[in-house]
Amino acid sequence: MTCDDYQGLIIDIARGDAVDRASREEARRHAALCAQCGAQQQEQQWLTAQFRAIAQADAQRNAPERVEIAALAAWRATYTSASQSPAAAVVVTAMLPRTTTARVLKGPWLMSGLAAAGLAAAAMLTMFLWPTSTSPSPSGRTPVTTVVSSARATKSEPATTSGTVATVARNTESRGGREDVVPTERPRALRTASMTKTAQRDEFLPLPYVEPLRSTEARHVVRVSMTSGDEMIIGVLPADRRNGQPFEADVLVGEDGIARAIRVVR
Amino acid sequence: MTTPPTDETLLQTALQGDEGAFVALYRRWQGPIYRFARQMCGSEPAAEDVVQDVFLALVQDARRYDAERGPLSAYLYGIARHLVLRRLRREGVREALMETDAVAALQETQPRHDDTDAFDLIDRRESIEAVQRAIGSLPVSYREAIVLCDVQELPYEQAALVIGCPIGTVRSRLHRGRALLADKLRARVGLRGIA
Repeated sequence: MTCDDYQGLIIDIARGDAVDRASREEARRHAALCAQCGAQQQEQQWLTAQFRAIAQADAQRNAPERVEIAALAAWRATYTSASQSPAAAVVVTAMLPRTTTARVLKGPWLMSGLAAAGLAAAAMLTMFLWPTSTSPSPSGRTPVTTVVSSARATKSEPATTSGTVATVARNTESRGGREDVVPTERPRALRTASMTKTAQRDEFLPLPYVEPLRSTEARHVVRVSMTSGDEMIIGVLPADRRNGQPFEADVLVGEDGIARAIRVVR
Repeated sequence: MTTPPTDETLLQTALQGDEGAFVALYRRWQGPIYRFARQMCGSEPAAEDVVQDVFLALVQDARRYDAERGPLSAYLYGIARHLVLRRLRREGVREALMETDAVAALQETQPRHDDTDAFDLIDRRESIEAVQRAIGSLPVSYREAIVLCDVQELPYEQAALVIGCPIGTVRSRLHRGRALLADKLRARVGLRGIA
């Protein structure tokens, strides 16, 4: 056996891969005679031992439980009949880093997002061009952004029919960064049924696994439709509160697109 | 004694709405994928992201999996690899930092007595860490071959499916990667005994 022949076998031998007995014996004899190949063989066997030690040391390393919770929530949102709306996927993204949030916004969500963005742009444009329908903001409040969103908005179901239009207004002087959803005066065409009805809401509850919003950070409120299964996932309410009936909730989303808090709209 | 269901069976069952099947599938593969991503990225948060994204991708596009093209595990590893490479491309600067860290870590393990075999001098834990860092400093193509074949102990065939290249390429990358690794460790730790 030459050194070149030996080099072709050295990794397989070091890894303990299947090498026929004759070749293995010939390689062993070569390594005993050739100092360089013998030293390489020792090195490679040492490396193999290190790789196995790494694998052994890592054997108990697993993804944290929150990853399973998030994956399961996404699965439920997609495959369980009780959760026809992708609201859970929205809430799940609250637990996920930015990269994952961006992924969830692909596909139908992208269409929803585009529809929402288009509607928001139209709303802003109309507010500028329709002087008779505009009015000053409530005293002391500065409109930060207008968000139109709907967890159910799809190509066949425009956001204007099922979504909520709300302006997030911030009272920077007296509320220390706390946000309210304040319907402001705006063109009549943009009003929706869900906006005009009087809704009673719980306080915003912070979502787990996310950093709180900074007081200076812009924020949006997204109205979503959920089921009791969804709220169990995010730990907002016990299951018996809703009896499995769909309900609406407001999700507070930071400027990074990650949800921070949620409140139920009764 | 019942045989555990195959990955493909679990996936099919999960797609029909069986939550238990999805959980079983997740629990079967989250660990290996997490460890693969951690070895590749050198970061636990990054590995968490990868696991999340792999299973979100499976949830969203499970029907894209074609059993005729390979086992589900290779499909999951393939998604993980894609995510890892994307992350590494985005964080290209970080690789250089890892290289620097690896040099520092390996120099810290410099043996005190020149006449003693360096391999024997390095404490077991330190040597594992040093090798891990050295793996992290390898070019990605060699790194993934070593992580998949040597650390994760995937067969060559499956590693080839994950990487998307012929088996011979996997073998040659593994060979070259191991040689580079030996060079790095020899040069930095002062290994002797090789002519």
